Amino acid sequence: MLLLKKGLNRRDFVKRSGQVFAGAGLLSPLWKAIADTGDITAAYPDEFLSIAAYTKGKISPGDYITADNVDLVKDLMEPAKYKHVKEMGRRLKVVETTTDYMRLGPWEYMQATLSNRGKARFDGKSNVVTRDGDPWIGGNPFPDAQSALELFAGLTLSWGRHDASLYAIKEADIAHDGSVEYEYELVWAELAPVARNVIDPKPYWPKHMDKLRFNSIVFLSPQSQAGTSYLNIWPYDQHKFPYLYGYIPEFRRIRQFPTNQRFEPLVPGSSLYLSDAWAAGDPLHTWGNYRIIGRQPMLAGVSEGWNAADSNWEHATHGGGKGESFFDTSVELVPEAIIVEAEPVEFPRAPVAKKRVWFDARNQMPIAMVSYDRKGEPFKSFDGCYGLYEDGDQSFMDGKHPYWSWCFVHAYEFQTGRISRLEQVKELPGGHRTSVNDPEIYDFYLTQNAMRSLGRS
Amino acid sequence: MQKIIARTSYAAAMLAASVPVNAGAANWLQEVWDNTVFTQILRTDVALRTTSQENFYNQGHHPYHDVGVNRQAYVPPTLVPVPGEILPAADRWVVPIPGFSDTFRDSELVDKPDNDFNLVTQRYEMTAQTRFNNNWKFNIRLRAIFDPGVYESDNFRASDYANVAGGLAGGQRPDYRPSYFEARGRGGRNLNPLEISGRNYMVDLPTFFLEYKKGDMTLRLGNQTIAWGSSIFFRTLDIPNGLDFRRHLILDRAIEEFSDKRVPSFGVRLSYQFSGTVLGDFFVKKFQPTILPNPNTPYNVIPTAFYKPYDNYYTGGYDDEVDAGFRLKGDYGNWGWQFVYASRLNPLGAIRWAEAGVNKGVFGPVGEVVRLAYNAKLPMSNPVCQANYDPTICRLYGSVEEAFSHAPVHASPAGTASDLEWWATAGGVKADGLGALNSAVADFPAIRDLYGSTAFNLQEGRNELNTFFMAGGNQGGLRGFLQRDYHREDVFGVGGSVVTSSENSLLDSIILNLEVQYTPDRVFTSPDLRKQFLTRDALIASLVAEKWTRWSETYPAAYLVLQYQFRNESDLVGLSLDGYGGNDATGSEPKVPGGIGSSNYLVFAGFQPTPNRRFVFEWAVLLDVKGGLLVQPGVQYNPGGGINLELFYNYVNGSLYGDPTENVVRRIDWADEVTARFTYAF
Repeated sequence: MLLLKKGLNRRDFVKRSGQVFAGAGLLSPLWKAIADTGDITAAYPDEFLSIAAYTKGKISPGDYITADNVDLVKDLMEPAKYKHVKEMGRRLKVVETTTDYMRLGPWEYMQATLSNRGKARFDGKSNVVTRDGDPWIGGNPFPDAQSALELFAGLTLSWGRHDASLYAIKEADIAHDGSVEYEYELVWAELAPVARNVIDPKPYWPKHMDKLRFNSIVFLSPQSQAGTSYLNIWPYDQHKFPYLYGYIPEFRRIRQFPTNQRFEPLVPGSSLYLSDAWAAGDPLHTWGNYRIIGRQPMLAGVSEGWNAADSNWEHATHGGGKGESFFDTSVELVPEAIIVEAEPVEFPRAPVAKKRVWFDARNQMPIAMVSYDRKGEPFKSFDGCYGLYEDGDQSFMDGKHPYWSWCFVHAYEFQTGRISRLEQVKELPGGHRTSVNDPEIYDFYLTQNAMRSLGRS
Repeated sequence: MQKIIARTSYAAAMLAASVPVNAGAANWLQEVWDNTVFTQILRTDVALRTTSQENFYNQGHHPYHDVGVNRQAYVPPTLVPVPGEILPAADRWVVPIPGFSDTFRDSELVDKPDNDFNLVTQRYEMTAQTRFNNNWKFNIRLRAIFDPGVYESDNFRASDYANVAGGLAGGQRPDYRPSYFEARGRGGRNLNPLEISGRNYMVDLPTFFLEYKKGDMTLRLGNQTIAWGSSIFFRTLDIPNGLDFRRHLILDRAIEEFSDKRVPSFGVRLSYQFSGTVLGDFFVKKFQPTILPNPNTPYNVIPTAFYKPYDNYYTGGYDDEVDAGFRLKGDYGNWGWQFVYASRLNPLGAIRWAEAGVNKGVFGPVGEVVRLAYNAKLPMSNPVCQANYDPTICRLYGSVEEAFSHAPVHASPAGTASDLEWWATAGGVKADGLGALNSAVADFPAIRDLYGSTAFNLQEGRNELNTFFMAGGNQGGLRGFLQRDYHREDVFGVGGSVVTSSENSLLDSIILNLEVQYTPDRVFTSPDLRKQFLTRDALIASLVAEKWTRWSETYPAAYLVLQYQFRNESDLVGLSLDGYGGNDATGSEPKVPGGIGSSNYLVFAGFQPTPNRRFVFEWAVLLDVKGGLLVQPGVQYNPGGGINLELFYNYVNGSLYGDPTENVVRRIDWADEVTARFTYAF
């Protein structure tokens, strides 16, 4: 190990990080390495690929990070995760760093990213288009992003990186004393009418080429919230707010909602706003002042998040006052996280003044987010885990390849100590099954007709 | 245990509904079981009265209950064969009968109930959804409500008056023993086919349908409700279903709107997403009428001067009628439109006098005079009468009892006993007291046969009424009979919506909805209850402005809605405006209603959640611009664990300003109350 060989301490490592991410230390440009070999190993020195190197062998893959040793890796964590481990009993299992690029996203999306590299640009309205000025055609348009705007543009264009996704989700909302106060079952649906890689017609659904996304959230239980649903229809123009419709069980009908109300808790007890989705829940240009404020290696959950051992993919929990605050989490050393900040410029009374998002430079997915209130105090923090849905001889397939997706996420409120944790599960009662690239997701979850059908009758 | 019961019931229902009896049934049932989702709630509702007033439509609470009212009998013009040309007063109700007068006080016979609680109910609901595959699913919602009868504990009991004026005989079930839930047509059959109800309980299936979804189409077949329109509380385009007022009238949480009130019906509903922007909705369903609360129940709206109206739903053949309609709704982001049409029977129906159908006589000194005089008349078999029927000398029926069976009133203990009470009662339900008397005379030969005749002014009407009431006996009075029929109408509706955009944050993102309903030749109850109903071209328009706004960075957005509704012919509940401006429900000098030109209502409602939505503060204000006000502040508390607590207060003021007889709120001016709800979902 280079770091060990050189006998670097942590301060030296941070200093070296700065040199590396400034370009002086990169062995090879990341994207050249990926394009050449499909692997990131050639892009980073060994010390950026090894937690053992960072901790001088005190923490290795397979070990757990706990309150006893978390200070060794404090600089590799966003503040909430450190606090969780140090003060709230959270523990993190360390796994090997993923170096195979194709294991960091859906196969078709990663392929499209490679093949379409260099074909994207911003048009006069700063929307992402092809060189011909058409809507984007698939994959990440700026895989070697040079600016914060490019990073967020790629993320906003495709959240889940599939053409269509239906996530069956279980949510638990936990009080500061660790007790589970609210539990919800819900489904989250996304469908891209443009930049499609799998679903025909592709890359565009012609009659919806003016739109970027259909997205809905439908609460299935408990009874008091069952049928509550929201449908967002995103224009492709990222200056425009999504059209928002909601099925309110008490009204037994669909109502239109103002499009800019995106900082509201959707159900009692939840810490989540529409704005929080994927760290980019609002149209690109309703936020502004995008800026890269740094780069660093990070410990984050980007692999081994799928719990194949449970028939419904549900995760064990631990920590907090009642042992139910955190999912069992695996983290790996992400060699390069790009830290970006942005401000909600089109939301005059938003409770959030800015957000700080850590992007994994390899696949440009967010691996952590902290939002700050209007006083500048930390407000909410998000961290989760992605992964390929394969484990030994078990797998959940997305076409010819194992499914890649998020597996769970924690939302932590700094000021109240409340936690909302969500996990993607295989199936929820009523036949709502996690599915991917199924065009029927549109008919069953993403129209007003569908909302009425899903609503309480 | 509840869950087991629910599942067992559900499984039984599924089997009864569609399971073929064969060897594979067990496996099929297991599959159904595995693919079925159940949710259940238990809910307790308690409404505490906060005013000294009680429902003035119920026995013992009319305004003259404890007032001694002087009554004088008059010589009926048709009793004495003196032509008006000779003695002008002889053909008018102006000649008193010496010695036939008294002072009547209802409270000497009937106690005034004193209820602390308007409402105490326990509710259980179970919903179940079975998904057979991606395309087919089956939905059930079972609703069971129990009322322990706290309200009736010291109330009027018909059985206590069996020996007074012949007791309470006749009328439609349920009779005068308070029945909180029974809803039956003439003849006793349930109005709702999927309902079992008794005095203290009801169990029904407001949702019981099979759904098929394929692509852009959704088809629902079975018992269901349909909600249309964008107005909240105002039913401008919400036309497919009638309402069920048995459960807390319209005094539940306003923000819930009519979700628990719409009357379900068997039908087919087809929804089709024509494109991403246009949604079509079509229905064909069995006609089901609006359901009114029963006499002497807490939220009764039909004065006990009447028996519960005969509902001709079955006898009139309306149960075979079908409603059909469609709505097209287009949404284009910041603007939208809708078009609605329905051919339906108006579920509110129209009410008129009805024959009693019960042989019952007259009582007291006046009654005896009437009986003697009536018996002295010639029967119709007499050649004189066959040649020319003259009510002064001829009688159509064999006896007074038989005659009253063909009249719309008859003697009844604690019935309407004075003209003042009559006018107060008429005013309370927006009827024309004088007109109702004269239409009873005009429409019912039996009344003319019993010496009734047209009253040409209020004083004559008062005299005639008191004479008739005295024939009900010293402790009696008369009770009226009504009937309800339904009429087909073509309802047209259009609507448009726009979302504002402004640099001013207060004016930005306001969702404006304009909805207009036009119904040519809508049939209304005539204020004089005559058999010839009113027919008018009815226009209803509403403008709704909704906004979500954040007052602070800490609190989630508040929901605000401001609404205005205009009606050219009817009030908020669908009654003709011609009956407005009459007497006050709490008593006033008799007068004939002059009607009002239009009704206009304003609503300001909304809610403000606290962070994490643990508490939600709500409010709703309804202002009838003629001077009626209903204010409902409330709070919801959701601590998690399936528990939900709600507390809301209804402040009702029907005489805020202006003439109280000209606003709709006055009709429920007794309903100030605090309601608490406890819901446990599991």
